[in-house]
Amino acid sequence: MRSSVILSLLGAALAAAQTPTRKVDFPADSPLSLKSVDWGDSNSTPRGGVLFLDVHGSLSLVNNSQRHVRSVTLAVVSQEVTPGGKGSVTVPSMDVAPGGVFPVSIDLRLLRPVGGRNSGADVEVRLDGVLFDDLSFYGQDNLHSRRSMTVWELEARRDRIYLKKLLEQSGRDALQKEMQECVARQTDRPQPGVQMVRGRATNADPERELSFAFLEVPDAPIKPTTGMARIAGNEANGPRLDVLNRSERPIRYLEMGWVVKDGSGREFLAASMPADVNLPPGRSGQVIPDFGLRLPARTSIQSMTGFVSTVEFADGSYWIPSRTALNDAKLRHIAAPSPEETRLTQIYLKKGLIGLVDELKKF
Amino acid sequence: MSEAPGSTRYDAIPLETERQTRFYNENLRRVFLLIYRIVGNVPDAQDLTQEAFIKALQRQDQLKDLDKAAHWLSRIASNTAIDFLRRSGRVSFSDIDELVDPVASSPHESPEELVLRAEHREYLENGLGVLTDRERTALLLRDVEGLPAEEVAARLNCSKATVRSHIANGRVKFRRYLERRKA
Amino acid sequence: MTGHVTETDLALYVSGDLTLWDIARVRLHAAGCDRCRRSAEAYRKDRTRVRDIVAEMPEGLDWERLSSEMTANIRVGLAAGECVAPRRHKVAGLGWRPAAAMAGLAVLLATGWWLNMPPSTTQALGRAFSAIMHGRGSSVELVMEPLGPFVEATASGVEVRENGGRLGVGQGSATPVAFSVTSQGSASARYVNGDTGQMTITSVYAQ
Repeated sequence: MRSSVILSLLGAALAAAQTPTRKVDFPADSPLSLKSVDWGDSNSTPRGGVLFLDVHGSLSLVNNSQRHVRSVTLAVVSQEVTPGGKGSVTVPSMDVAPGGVFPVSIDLRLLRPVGGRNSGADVEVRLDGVLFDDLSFYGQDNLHSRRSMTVWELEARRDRIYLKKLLEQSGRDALQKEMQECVARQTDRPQPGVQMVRGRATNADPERELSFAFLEVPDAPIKPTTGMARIAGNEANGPRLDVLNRSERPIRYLEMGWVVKDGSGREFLAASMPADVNLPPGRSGQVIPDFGLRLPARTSIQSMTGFVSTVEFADGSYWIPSRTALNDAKLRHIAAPSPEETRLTQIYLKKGLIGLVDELKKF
Repeated sequence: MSEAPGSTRYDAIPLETERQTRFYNENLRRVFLLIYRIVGNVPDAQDLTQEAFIKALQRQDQLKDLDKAAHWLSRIASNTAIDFLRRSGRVSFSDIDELVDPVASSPHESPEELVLRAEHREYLENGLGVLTDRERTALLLRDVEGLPAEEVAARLNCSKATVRSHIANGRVKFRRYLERRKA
Repeated sequence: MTGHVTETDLALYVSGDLTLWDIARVRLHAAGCDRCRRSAEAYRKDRTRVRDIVAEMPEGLDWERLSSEMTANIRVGLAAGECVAPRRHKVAGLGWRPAAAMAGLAVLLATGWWLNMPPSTTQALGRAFSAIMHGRGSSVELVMEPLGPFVEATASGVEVRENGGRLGVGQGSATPVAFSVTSQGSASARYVNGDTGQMTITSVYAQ
């Protein structure tokens, strides 16, 4: 009786939401330092043998380096090994001068087994990567943030150059028209929910093989030649793609966009397929990612299209589609706008064309 | 990821000209020594030298102007070594060490060993060994590579003031070490 | 020590790493001070000594053998098209196990397989079988979740899920302007600050 009273008291204490312990852990030679942090209403809730950690943080970081910071990725970790234990927050498309301060917001729910901890804290915030204006990088890069941030920065430069040239050569009316199309692109782009699972998904419907069509992206160093996936209802499993390196340089990474058209004729970007490769010039190879794609129930997959969205050469340089290639009607409608285009579109919406032009002049 | 069957592999370092081949042979030794002095051991220096050359030789366009190529190659080499030190957690270039007596930093050497050591080179090498990684790296970039302090700071990603402290501390420690030896 | 230049200033003076004013100050002092002039000369010679040391091979090192080995490794590295680097990730190396396929109702009834299914799945199937056996409705929609953890991206945000539970969630205060999943098991949502336009990309990982 007594022990059950004690146990129930303990249970009540554990059941109450508690504030998780947090640690912001940047290396001693980090180019960024923490100025302040407000953890708001972060809390932890135990359920069975698992602790759910709601992490809501507003961080202020200082650029202590001599270079401008363009992008930063923070890893937020409650435990490393099992799913749900880590997340990340990236702020791309910045321009933080030496000594400058900038905010980063964290809104994540993570979990870990009760009792397991990272070096004494329930949640640890680590610096996975910092990208500078000269495209140099600092950080552990455990989350491949170097690659993603570099690609976003290259996209940002591409888009700013495009918009500035448009303004110079065709005037404000042309820029206004372009921005209206950007607004439409962001609001009208179809985005149904999608699941991605290791191996294959679980639909018991009979499968059929469906071939990929491919969007030709001008100047892309990779040419996808053939591809197929097994389709069952709202699921696609076991994609296989043959690709050719038609450039003169070896390629070590590529990313393909996977577009799906459903039974109602709606076309959308379903997933991204990154692949580490080892592809000398002129050689073909196969990309066989082991995953299954699952769309909302009662969504049938009628056709699939692939396109090359990113290539990384063995020397560390990158290829991304040009703005001209993106103006292809299909890609423009489907591919996500770059973070910089999104940012500039928001400035246009808030401050109008004058505000946008002032912003473009800063670069 | 599979490759098409029957692929052939390169059987020579793909340099376009004899001049480039000579450039490679001349700079292999220099780059290795620079990296060795930064990281302090041969196996790591070997790996990092290979890494630096692979990065460099994949940019054949940079090798066309061999006058600029040597400087560019040095930059790749030192960045590769510095990144290695950072990744291995050995060094933070933003920290400045207190200037301590260099002899006291080498407690493993007995006075008898100092007396017995006759080789001038080893004696001087040990002088570099009393420096911290950050002091030695800053000194190598400044005095051996001949980079201005601003560029050293940029490569080490720290302030110019910090780099000057590393350079000053390194030189003072080395000098004090030599003076103790003479005494 | 008073009246003399500091060692730090002397050490920096010899390579011109002082301000113009300090260089002039040290030069002026050294012109009239033997001690500081000798110290500056010693620091100057030390720079040459350092260059000499660095130009020498470590003792006992067989440079011919080492350079041949490095040349061979560089050749292989170029042919492979990748740097000799300490850390590389390859999709094939992650070793994801494919989930078991469900072949049909006959398979569903296999006891061993039933017992190995995730609890939420067995519950859903149980309800479905019960409805069929008791004639409740002519069709039952089975909402089968994938086996193993998976990522999901929707207008509500991004999640890692398994066995009907949400393991990790990335969620901003607003609706994401874009979201995506990758075949490497991550899901990302992009949020935009309405005032500054600054974007934040939140990601969760199934592995």
